[in-house]
Amino acid sequence: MPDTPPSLLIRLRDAGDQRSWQQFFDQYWRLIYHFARACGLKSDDAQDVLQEVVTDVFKAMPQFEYDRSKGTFRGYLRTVTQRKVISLLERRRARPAISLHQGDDGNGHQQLHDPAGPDAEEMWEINWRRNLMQVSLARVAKEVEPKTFQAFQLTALEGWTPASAAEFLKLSVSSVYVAKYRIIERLKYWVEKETKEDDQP
Amino acid sequence: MNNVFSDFELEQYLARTLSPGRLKRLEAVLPESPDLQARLAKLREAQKVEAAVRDSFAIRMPPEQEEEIRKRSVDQISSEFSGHGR
Repeated sequence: MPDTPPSLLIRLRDAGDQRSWQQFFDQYWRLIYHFARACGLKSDDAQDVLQEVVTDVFKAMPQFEYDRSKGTFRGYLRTVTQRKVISLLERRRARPAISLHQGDDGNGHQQLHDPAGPDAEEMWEINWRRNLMQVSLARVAKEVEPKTFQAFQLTALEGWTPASAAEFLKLSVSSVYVAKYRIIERLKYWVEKETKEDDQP
Repeated sequence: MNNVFSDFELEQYLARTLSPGRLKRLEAVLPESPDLQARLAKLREAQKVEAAVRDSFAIRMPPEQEEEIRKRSVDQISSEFSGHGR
């Protein structure tokens, strides 16, 4: 059963728990990387930010007390990431030979954001939700039969009609609908669970 | 199932017969059918989840690129961790 943020954080306090760190990384790397990219960093620099954030969290964890009344984990992670992005941008501005990326890079980074600007939090929240959905999708994919997941992929993501998906997967049309709803229900479950865990004071 | 329509039967029917505008009008004239209203609300919620899943792919890259970034970062971080007595 995948961990919720608090239980994962508790295990992260044990610096030797490699599995927990791997899980932490898998859960959050896209979020940190894409936030950095959306702030204008090139891929190599965004990877530097990712590594610095993870190692900072690693160093902070043994003393870290997860007290929700002081804020959410996603707020904490945003603060750490913002600081790293700002710090790297300042270093880069001091050495302008290394440029920021401009315009659409094909990964949805059409608009660059100031990591210290008023819309940074909103951008983080958008990416947090996207990341949570991706992580949840990966979890659900492991929970169900491959055909069930394929039925969802084909109809919900690739625009196939239920009839075409049913024919391709050798299922009844009804089974395709049932599979799709099952995946959606599981996605809702994971997203709500993770959000609740992180939001509760 | 106790209800007249199962979810997929209802969606099949709606998909065949109703545009989003007509669906809205149908909902407006069915106040006396809380069960159907609830089912339509459930469908709308499912459509929202589908849209959110599609939107979440904005932070995905081609698998090879993702794997390369992931692996490189893990290697770097592991080496950093090793430097801290692990």
